[in-house]
Amino acid sequence: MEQKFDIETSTPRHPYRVPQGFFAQLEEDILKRTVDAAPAKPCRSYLRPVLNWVATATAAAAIAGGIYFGYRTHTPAEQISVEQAFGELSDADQQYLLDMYSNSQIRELYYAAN
Amino acid sequence: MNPKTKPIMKIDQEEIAAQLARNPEKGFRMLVAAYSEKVYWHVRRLLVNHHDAEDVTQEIFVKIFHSLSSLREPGALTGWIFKIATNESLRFLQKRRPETLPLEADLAEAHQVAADEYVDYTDLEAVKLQQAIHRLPPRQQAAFNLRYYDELSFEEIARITDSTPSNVKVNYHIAKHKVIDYMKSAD
Repeated sequence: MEQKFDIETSTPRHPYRVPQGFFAQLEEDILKRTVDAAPAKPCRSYLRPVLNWVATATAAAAIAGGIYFGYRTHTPAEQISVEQAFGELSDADQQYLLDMYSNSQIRELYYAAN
Repeated sequence: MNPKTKPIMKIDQEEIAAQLARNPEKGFRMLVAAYSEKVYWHVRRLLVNHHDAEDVTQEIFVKIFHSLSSLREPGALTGWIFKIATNESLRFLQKRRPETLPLEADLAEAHQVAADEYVDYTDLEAVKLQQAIHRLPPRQQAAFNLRYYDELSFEEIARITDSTPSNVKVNYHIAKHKVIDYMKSAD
């Protein structure tokens, strides 16, 4: 044996073997644990504007409802004080508030004060 | 199964790296197709046992998959993969056998290391060659195998083993002469 072996000229080899079809299975197992196991992609982009619109509409409805029901539950005395406070604002400030909140209830207060 | 494997140099690592950048999923599939067999044989030659090599190879590719963002140089893909493979194999060996295998381990131990159901014991020369290689320290084995079987350059092996090309070259020649001496020795 020792006469035949020459590390410089012999083709590198080893005595190891693998079961039939091993490398195809190995590849499959690796992919199952990596790219094929990756978490699902996030929602497609066209859904995002719809979700944003729904969230905005819900928030707006909640604010409007809060203002409406808050106003309804106030006592007359509280309403008067709000009206008085609004009436005491300068015309520019009142207009600013009206611009900011184009709300019929505030308009009502504005006209009542004037 | 023919144990002679094609050298790693034949893999188009630039093309795989470019695909990884364009489409990571497709690129990773290409990477697995190109490297899984080479990595398995590298690991197998270090660990010897087929089932251990299979498990460690899978772990290596899972690690590669989760570390793709840390690949900086597309041209160094092969070195990067084999560095991970070598480190994982050496870590496995350390866990399996915490005490260091002596430089001149006795023949009985070398035989014990080679015991595996997927070994062709009829190829006496190949078995003896593996026994000779397994008498080297694990890190030297890795460097020797990367040069002898995978035909990597000394520069690439130096990057993989965190060494210098001249150091790798000297170590390879020392290892080679130890292997030749063992091969020439009587059974």
